Amino acid sequence: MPCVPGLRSPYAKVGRLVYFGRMLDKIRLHAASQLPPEYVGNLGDLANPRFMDARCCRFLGVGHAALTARTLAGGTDEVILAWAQAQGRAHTDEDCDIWSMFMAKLGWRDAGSEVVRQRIAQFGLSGKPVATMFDVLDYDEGRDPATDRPWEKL
Amino acid sequence: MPSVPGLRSCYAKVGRLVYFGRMLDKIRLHAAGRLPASYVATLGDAQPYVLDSRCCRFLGVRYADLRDRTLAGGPDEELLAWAHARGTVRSDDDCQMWNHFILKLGWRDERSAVLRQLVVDRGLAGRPIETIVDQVEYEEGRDPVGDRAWEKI
Repeated sequence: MPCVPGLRSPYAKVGRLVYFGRMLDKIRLHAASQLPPEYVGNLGDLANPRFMDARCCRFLGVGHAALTARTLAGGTDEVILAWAQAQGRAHTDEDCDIWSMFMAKLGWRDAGSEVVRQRIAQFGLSGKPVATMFDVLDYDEGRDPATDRPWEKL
Repeated sequence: MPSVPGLRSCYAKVGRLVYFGRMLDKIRLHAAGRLPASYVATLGDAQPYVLDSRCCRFLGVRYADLRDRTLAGGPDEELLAWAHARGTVRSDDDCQMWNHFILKLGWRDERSAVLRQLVVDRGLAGRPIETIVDQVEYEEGRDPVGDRAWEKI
């Protein structure tokens, strides 16, 4: 899948969290019928508890349906994150660091490693230095995390 | 530092958590005068980046309280239950994330530079060390990469 206009890297942070902004992008693009069909199966928190949307919603303590409704009602990413944090679970800065690092490293030395191997083959990424699920998404969408080293900017 | 008798691997779990059991071992060994001197500086929660500190903050208990409770006696599981009851409520998800966070610490994060220096300082150059926990394991004579210890947690 080449670059999807309007869909940011999972490494991009909103507030203290990686991935959250990408989840909002997917919600907005889907509502505008601009989300490629390959992404629609991974939307939300019902299909598979290991999907990133589901992990993010559980961490926040909000349902994806409620987050979708709030996102489409409008407002900046930061306003929507503040809403989610007010609705859901309270987190310390350290909790957010742990979650962000957990997400950014998912697929390396864990149960997701096999999925990373499958995606490398499926997406034609053999030969790329892919170590994590975030790497898979970035390379698949035309970014180059091994060169940009986005984990150093978290 | 070769294997320290009575000090388990970071990967060993008590309940839902890696490392916690090792922290208890360090408390008990120190109290018995059997913890090597090189480990004493990283005991406790005075330094925020050391693993004892991270574990205590995750649990929401003070190290001094945990030490006192540990030395009062009881099995590991009972001490963990005490910590969970006294500290921050944690879900299974929270514990899984924390385990992976701790076990991957040093790879692609702010501790990577510290890890590189530790590998040199401890004479471990040439080992396939990518995390802080790898460094601890190799230093104590275990082989986490050969054993793929992360697949068993």
